[in-house]
Amino acid sequence: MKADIKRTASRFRHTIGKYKVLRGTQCKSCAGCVVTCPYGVHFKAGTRMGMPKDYLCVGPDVCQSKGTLCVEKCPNQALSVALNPQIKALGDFRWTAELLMSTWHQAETGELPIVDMEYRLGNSGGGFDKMRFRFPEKLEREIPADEIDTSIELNKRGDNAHRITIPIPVYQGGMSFGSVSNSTMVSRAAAAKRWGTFGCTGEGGYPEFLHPYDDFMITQVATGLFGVKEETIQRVRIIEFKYAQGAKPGLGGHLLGDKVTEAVAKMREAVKGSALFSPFPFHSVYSVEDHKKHVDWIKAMNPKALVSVKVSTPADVDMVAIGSYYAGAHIVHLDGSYGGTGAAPDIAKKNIAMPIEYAIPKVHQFLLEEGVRDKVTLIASGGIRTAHDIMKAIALGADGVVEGTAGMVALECTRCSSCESGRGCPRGIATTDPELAEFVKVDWGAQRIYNLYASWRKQMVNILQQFGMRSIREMVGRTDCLRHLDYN
Amino acid sequence: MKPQIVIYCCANSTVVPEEDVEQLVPEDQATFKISRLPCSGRTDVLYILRAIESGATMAMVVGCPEGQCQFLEGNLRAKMRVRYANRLLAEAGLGNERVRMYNIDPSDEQALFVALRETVAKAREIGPWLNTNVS
Amino acid sequence: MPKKYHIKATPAAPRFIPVGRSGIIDWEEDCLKCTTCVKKRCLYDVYKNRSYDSRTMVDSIDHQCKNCFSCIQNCPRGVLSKTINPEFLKMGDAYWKPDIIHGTWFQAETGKIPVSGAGYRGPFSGPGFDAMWTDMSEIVRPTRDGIHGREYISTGIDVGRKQHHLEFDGTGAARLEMFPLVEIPIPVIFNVLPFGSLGKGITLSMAGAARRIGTLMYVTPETYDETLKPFKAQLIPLLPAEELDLEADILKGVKMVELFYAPNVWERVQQLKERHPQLVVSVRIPLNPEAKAITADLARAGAEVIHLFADYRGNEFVDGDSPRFVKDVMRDIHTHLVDEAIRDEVTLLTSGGIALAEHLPKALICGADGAAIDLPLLIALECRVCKRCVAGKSCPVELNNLDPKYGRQRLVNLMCSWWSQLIEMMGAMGIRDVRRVRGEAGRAMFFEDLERDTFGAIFGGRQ
Repeated sequence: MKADIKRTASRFRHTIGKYKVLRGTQCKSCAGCVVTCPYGVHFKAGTRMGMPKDYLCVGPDVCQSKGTLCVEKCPNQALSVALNPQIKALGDFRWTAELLMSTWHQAETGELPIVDMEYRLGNSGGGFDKMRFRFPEKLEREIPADEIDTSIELNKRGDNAHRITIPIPVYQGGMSFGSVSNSTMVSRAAAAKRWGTFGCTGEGGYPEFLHPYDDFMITQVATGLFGVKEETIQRVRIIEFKYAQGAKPGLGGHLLGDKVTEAVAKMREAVKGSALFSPFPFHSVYSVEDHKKHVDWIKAMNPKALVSVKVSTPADVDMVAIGSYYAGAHIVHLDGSYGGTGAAPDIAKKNIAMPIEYAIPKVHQFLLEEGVRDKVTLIASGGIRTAHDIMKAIALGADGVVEGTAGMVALECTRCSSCESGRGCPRGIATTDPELAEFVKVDWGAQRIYNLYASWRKQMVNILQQFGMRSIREMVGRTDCLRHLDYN
Repeated sequence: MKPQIVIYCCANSTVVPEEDVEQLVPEDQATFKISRLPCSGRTDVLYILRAIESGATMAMVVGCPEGQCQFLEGNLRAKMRVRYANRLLAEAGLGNERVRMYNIDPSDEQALFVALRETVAKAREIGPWLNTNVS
Repeated sequence: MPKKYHIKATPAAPRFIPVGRSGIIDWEEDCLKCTTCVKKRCLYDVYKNRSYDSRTMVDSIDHQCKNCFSCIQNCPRGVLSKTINPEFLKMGDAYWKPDIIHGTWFQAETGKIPVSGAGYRGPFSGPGFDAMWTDMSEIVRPTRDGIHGREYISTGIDVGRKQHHLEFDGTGAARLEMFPLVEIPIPVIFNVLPFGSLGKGITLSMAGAARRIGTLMYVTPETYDETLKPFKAQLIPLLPAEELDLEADILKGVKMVELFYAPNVWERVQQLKERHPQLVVSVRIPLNPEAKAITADLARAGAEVIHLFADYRGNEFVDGDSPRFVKDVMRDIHTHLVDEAIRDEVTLLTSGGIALAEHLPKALICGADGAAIDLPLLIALECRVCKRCVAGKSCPVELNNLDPKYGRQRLVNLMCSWWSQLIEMMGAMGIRDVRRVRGEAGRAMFFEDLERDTFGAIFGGRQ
């Protein structure tokens, strides 16, 4: 399939890059560097030189070996290039500075960066970051990229509900009205629709501006039951029960007072300025039988809808999964402990429940042993950052993944973690403040996320090619395609 | 009377810990306060003036050798600011020798010692600007 | 119905500008003086509120900056930049990391549970307490909606020896001479500090906070004086077993006393109990390979409380490169006492390496009834763990001049935050009483087990 990528640069004047290029006062605007640099770092703006687009710079070593080093070629020695010290303040163990920058690059161009930046792994020291692919030494057959299928089925039960196939094994995690800006919600939904995959309303209700995307939306029934009405249930093709969330297992959603604006209060039938903590658990569900009642209730209102059950990852996650299946779920969605959130207590993010890398094989194996694995679509989320994480998750046993934070990073999130307080996100993503929300324009946002998915798909196809696989479905549970650096 | 010397030190130019600085110069000669900065170019003229105002006899700004600054120009700006600070202090009647800039290569252990000794000697020479006996 | 336990937090701003994480670089010489300067548009007003403390040489912007990069990316001349503050990286040590210090400062200032956006930022796992996760109950075992809900979660423990079974005398009457117990509303006691005992201000802050929240505080004879007399009910004298003076003034009016372990300690304990039968007597044993046997012997002999302590980084006291971590030794000792059928009678306390709020439930899961904390209290008072005091030098945050009222509030706030976080974790686990957390290894997931069961099954032997 041909992706409709459009170059979509940053909204800011400067994009943070790996290298810093400085032009001193010795510059005589001869524009020789414009010719020398093959990457477009230097340009002329009127009679003077513009500020170098240093995020395009591939670094002095590469250029020196190719003889295109602007620093050497400048007749006035006006240029200097060094590693950008800013990147030391950027990122963390999971989303490192290079992972952030390479994701920004993919969101801008739909391609992998030319600059030597890590785009596959974080620095968490465990889980996905310790796994590598075990590519075969010789390929039996060379499959052309356009013959490789990355689609997955969401309804494997074979019942009367919708048969839905999505072209990439990814759909979007719920981000509620109130936690992110309207334009962020629409950008995500628009990107999902263009790809033919799904967005998710999150637990804060189904705002009107998402109605054009009904066929590509999942609506959430969460413990606060915000905005859950018969009308919303009947709008969509997939309904998600949010029993728990990876970032704060055992706790309900958090929307702090400053973010409960008038519009949010109206949607959630609450009081403006009053913090909203969703209860935990569903106070109408205390057993698997209660859960079945829940599922039946939804099916009564919308018989053809697919039911997804989103749970976090306790020690008995496999039991939860099988119970969900028997209660009628089509999709079992595991949300691992390192997933993103709009607001959660730091202690919960770190300590409660297990990382997704353990949960996937546990549930996959158990469903296999119970003989129902082929009837369940197993979706994993919670710290899926790159196309490589996606492939590793599938190799461990998932059918597909849900992404959340990665989409935010595509919109230029810096992972500063200030989403929850005051006016919210200074970059206009996780905020309902009308002034700040202006920073994200829907056309820009939708294209950025679209581009990122396009780059991901290319990487997935590339990995499948190297394994000689024709379809991503062949990868499910293929742990033999992986190796772990701590194991023999 | 012991002069107090305030050091604004780029963390990349020298990794000498505080304990060693205090050992390089005998305790009875001067007291030191060190602030480690991400770049000597972080030194604000205001920092220097405030330090002197609070009673420091001299301020040392330590940066990387020219051409080796992580921020590319930080040490050059530090140099400019040191000159500017001295000019302001001179206008205030405190003389123009109270602030010094040193470019030190991290591999050169002797350089810091030399810089400290020079500064201490200068501090003892020009004395504190406060006329009262403050040590 | 008993009154619900509550700790009242009141914001207590730091006395000094905190050492911040950021190092902002501003090359104002090149500034174009734009009318819509990015500094003015900073959402957090960090430039507007910027101030510099020349005493400690700290710039307020470094702490207030939220790392959003907006100003850096929008300034037309690119005048602004940033990196990590080297003074931040210098704080603490390999165990007491700068982030732990920052988190403790936040909790001491606000009394709130640290809440932030975006997912967890840290490593996958790590040594010590980082090698375990606590469990949560999903649909099948309902959780307890403690903090925001209507359910009551009890965090109180009884320190002392528990009667295992009823005994009857010759007349058939039940012998209800229960052992003395000290009830504390949270499973935390204030320990002696490993360093930084810089004077009355700190001791009185700790004593005042202990009283406010209803817990206890250890005090050595060297630290004890007249000023601590009003706090007798909170104090636990910590005494050497050797020269025990049964008539010492320090023993009057207290509820509990602890003796440092020595080979003849049991004899001393019995002497103490005879002279002061109402006192709960505890023995403080350093964690090392012998501690397990000693603890079992003392428990069998009738010990009431045993306090097993590690060094301030949580390691047992043993030569060589691989000391065990406190959680692993405690699991070992707890399990051994369970196997010997003597666990329930004796109270086990632990200390050493308890740095974060989450370490409390984790330590309890590993077998302790309660924990004693030390350094977090000092850090709450703005200590940067620079250890200048250890070298006899002056304290950069003047802890020797601390106002006890101010210090007390900082500590109360810290405890309020820790207590709230304890309840959050218990609520997620589905446990309503902290005494049930003790030894509940089934509510935890250990790194070694998960790795072996999941990855071991897939990838084979671990290297």
